[in-house]
Amino acid sequence: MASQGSQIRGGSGDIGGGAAVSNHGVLPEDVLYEIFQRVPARPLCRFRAVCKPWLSLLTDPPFVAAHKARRHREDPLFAVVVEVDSSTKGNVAEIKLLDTSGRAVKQLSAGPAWPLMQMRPHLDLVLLRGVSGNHRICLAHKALRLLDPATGAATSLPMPNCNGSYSSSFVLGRAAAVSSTGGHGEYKVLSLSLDSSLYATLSCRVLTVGGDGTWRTAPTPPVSIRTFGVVANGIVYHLVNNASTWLIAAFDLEAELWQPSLLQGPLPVPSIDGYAQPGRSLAELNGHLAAVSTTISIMDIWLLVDSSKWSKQCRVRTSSIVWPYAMDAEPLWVLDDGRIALWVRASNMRTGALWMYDPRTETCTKVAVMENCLNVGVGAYTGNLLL
Amino acid sequence: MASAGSGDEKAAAAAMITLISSDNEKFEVTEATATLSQTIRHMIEDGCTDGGVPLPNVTSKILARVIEYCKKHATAAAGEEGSSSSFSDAAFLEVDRAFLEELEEFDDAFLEVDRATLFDLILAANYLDIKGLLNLTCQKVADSVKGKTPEQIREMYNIVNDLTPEEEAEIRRETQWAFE
Repeated sequence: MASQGSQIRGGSGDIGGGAAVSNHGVLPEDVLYEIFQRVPARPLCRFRAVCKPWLSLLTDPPFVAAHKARRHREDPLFAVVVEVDSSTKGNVAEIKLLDTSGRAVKQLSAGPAWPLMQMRPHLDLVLLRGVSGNHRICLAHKALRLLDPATGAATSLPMPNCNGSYSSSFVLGRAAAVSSTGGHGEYKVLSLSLDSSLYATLSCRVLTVGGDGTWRTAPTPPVSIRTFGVVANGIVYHLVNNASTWLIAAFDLEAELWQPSLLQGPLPVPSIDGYAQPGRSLAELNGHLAAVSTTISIMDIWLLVDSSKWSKQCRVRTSSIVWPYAMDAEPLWVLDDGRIALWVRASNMRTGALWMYDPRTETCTKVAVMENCLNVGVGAYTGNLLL
Repeated sequence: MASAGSGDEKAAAAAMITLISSDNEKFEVTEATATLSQTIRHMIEDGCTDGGVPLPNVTSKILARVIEYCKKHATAAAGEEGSSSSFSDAAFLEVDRAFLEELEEFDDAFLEVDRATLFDLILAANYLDIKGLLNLTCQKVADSVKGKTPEQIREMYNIVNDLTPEEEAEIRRETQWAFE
């Protein structure tokens, strides 16, 4: 049998009826390797069905490892959770990964539906949180899990001791790789526990994923913060409680310290529809921290482009979302063509939908509707699904 | 190249190398242009470029295009060295940006070739070990195939499907998400 490369014909043999025969009719395997390294994961999985030589190259473990290491800039997939009736196992939570056209490209089991409280993707992993050990001791060991959507494998993480706390939060992030401190960009989980007033942080702890399984105590935040943290570029950001202006406290996952100064939010544009104070929230958008200001008809989005500089990303006219329900919208991603992907949830219903807002036409298009959605979080997954 | 003579502190940059294509055409290029090719750089370091560098794998048509690419990008590399060592003034950054844009336009125009020529350029870039050109041309092919189905790929590239129907069905089942 000829070598693997010989079956893969070059371009000259199949165009121009052989008139433009070059000195090479065939691409050697090292060149194919270079080309395939530049093709996104999804088409590569399809190309395994082209022929045997392509199959063996595209499933070769060193090839796959090199492809994953390249960090392709692909459109993200959006992770949403729906409850699925499974007659054998009871109702299970299923994570659906939607592409920007609204197709579910992959389904993943997230375990039983009822204890699931939180699902948050960050980069190429998903943090799942069940009912906390405080309330259901028997489930404590299953309460915190990390899911790798590429393999479908879930690993349990230990729970911190939350004695005396009323509520606790968990955020997954990847620490910045800092050569001076020997940081390699590990994934870490930040846990904050609050007292019953929800204003005082009782403890702040950090766990390194894949580490020794112990929660390290970190300093508590310098101010009273809201627990819902958003991670971008190795920093976990929290809105400060009761601030008359927009203030953000930032925790550095590599140093495991709160940054000494609070970050000032962007200046909100005066609301044009005359409503009172717009709602303020934080989000992770395209790998950056986003500040989101929402009124009944408008969502303004700023991105933090360097450590303290905000850039106005866009204004979404949420009034262009034509849907017969009261709803909440949150931004998921800004696509290369400027469109903004939004997850819109019908309030008090289990229906959610992926919409695309086009700022040029100021119109919003619904690309997918999901029923039986669990309101446990949505987010962008930017990992590589190649196996 | 006229501009290469301007730096008398870098007299070596003005040294000329002769490249000889498979059909025996000779191309005179500066060393700065030629050394974008790691393969040629090593030959120069080993002192085996006297009397010209024979490139039996590259036709004159392709070699002319490769040299065109290298000339443009050698100028770019020289510009980068100059600016990083001297100023970080905004005006200089502006010039850099304009130049980068020009380079991008050059690259786009450079890739306006038929598929056979593109493949020959890839093979030449691979043989001559010119990283930038290999990246540029491979990315072009990658972009042209990524939206295709296996059937379309086989048709585009005259590939015979040697998988059994069972094997193909199994691959499709395992990676179903990639087909939907």
